[in-house]
Amino acid sequence: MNYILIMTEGTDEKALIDVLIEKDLLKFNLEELVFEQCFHKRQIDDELLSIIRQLPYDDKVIVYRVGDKLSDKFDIRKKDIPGKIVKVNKVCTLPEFEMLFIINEGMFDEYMKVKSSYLPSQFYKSKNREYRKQAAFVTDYFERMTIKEIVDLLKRYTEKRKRAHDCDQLTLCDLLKEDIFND
Amino acid sequence: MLKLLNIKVNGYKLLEDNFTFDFLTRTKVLEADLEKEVLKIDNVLYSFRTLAIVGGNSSGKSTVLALILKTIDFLSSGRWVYVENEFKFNTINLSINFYLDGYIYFYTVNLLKNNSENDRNNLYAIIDKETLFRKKYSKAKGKKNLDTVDDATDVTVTYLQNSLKDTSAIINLVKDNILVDAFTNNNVIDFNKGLLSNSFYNILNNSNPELASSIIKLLDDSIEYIKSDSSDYVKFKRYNEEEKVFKKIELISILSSGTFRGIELYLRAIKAIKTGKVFIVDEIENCFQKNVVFNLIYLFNDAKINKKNAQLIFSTHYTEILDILNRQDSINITHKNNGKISIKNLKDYDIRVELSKSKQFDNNTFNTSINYQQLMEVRRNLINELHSNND
Repeated sequence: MNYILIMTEGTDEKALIDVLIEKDLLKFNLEELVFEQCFHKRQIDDELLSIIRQLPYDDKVIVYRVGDKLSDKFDIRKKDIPGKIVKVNKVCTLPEFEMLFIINEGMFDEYMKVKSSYLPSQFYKSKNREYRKQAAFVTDYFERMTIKEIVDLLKRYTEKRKRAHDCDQLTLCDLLKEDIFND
Repeated sequence: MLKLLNIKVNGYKLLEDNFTFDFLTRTKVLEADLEKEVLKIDNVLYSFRTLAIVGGNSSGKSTVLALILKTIDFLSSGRWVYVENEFKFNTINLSINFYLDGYIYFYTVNLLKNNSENDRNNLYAIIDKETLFRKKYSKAKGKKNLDTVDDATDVTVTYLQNSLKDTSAIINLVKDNILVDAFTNNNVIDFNKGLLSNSFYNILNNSNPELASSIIKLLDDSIEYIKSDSSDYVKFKRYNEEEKVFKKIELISILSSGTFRGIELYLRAIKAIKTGKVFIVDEIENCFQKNVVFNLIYLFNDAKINKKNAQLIFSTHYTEILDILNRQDSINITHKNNGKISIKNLKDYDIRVELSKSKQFDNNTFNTSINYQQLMEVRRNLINELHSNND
């Protein structure tokens, strides 16, 4: 069996993926995920290595790295777990994470007029005093949305992506169940 | 809940003068840390979900854990169970700083030897010279709140005037705000007297049966069930075998030490997490392979699971365990020099960040390995002895 290891660059991304897991939106079953969760880690550190080593010996791991930069070289720890990690995918979360809130609340066109002066987080903060750059805000925000609202938002967010680091990078929509778009 | 900030002691066993154990973080806390090892006490005031104590043989690890256990026990019961050999001199002087309901409390007490000739009265140390100060926690100051007592209010009379000779009224303030459980290496069996400590069956009977069963199978997948009640007997069944009935004490010798210990350790750890206790474990790796320990620590360090901020304080020889801890300042290292036990935080050392913690221990960076000269003397003596036997 191939286990799925989802690693996020930031806590915001992890919070979002946690909600997607909770709402059963991901194309993977919970049991397929390593330790039935995703991880906020840029690299496989000793903690994550200890976790991977507890998987059944013959089973392999496919990694999904989720982030907006993904520029650092990823070490698959060949010396420690040779042949364990069979594929590494990059899931690009561009544009900036806060664009999700901006798009969701119908402020995209307004932001585009001022984008040279403000980061998305600054712009959104000016519009929503409750906004905190914390995982708890992200969790709360998405937990309150319906499945349809989340899927629609991720579609619209992905459409706004003008550039990617590489054309073979995936998007958050690529992590969702395929039939979810047919509803 | 009450959270300990630091403990300072004089006159306790072999601990050096002004021995201090610090529960607080020492370096910047990131948001990601709060999902894992770091718990927030208040604004800019953080402690740990897991704290490790490491050190060479006989360096004082168990002594430090015993101090923490007795301190919490004292706060929650008002009594210090009297053990004569704990007293280096005639007095143990204890200073405990803790956080409770938005206040920082500074508590000091002298514990005196109880030389009562009447054994019934010899159970607890004598309480002497208590003081209690408190100040409202200033959210801007963080740890600096602890720097001075000068701006704190003396509430000794308010809270402690009803203290008795061997019972402190501190319990009226503390109440159930701190709970502790300690899992130590004490033998549970006296082969003459039988089963002395029933903690294994107690926790088994008081745990969710499905959870207990899954833990039993994790440690020994040949076991189908262990069913005990208040009688002296227990029903035991392995898969593909008939059910057997044993005396409770007999089963303990049938199970492997790892299984027996592991079941109780996990179930008590889960209880500690459910109730937000401080859970103290000496030699956490004893009888276990690494993953059993790893997963226990991982449970405590998961903020989503450990919602009541239970704290695991453990000692270990197994330095590989430390590699799975993301922080450095949750690790404390004991040393015994000239008969005095001291403690330092990992952050106090000038360490190489590119090497894992375990490799640094293996390289004897923290001077915790066996004394080399002593080792050579043992080798020489051994070789001489073996040669003389062969003559």
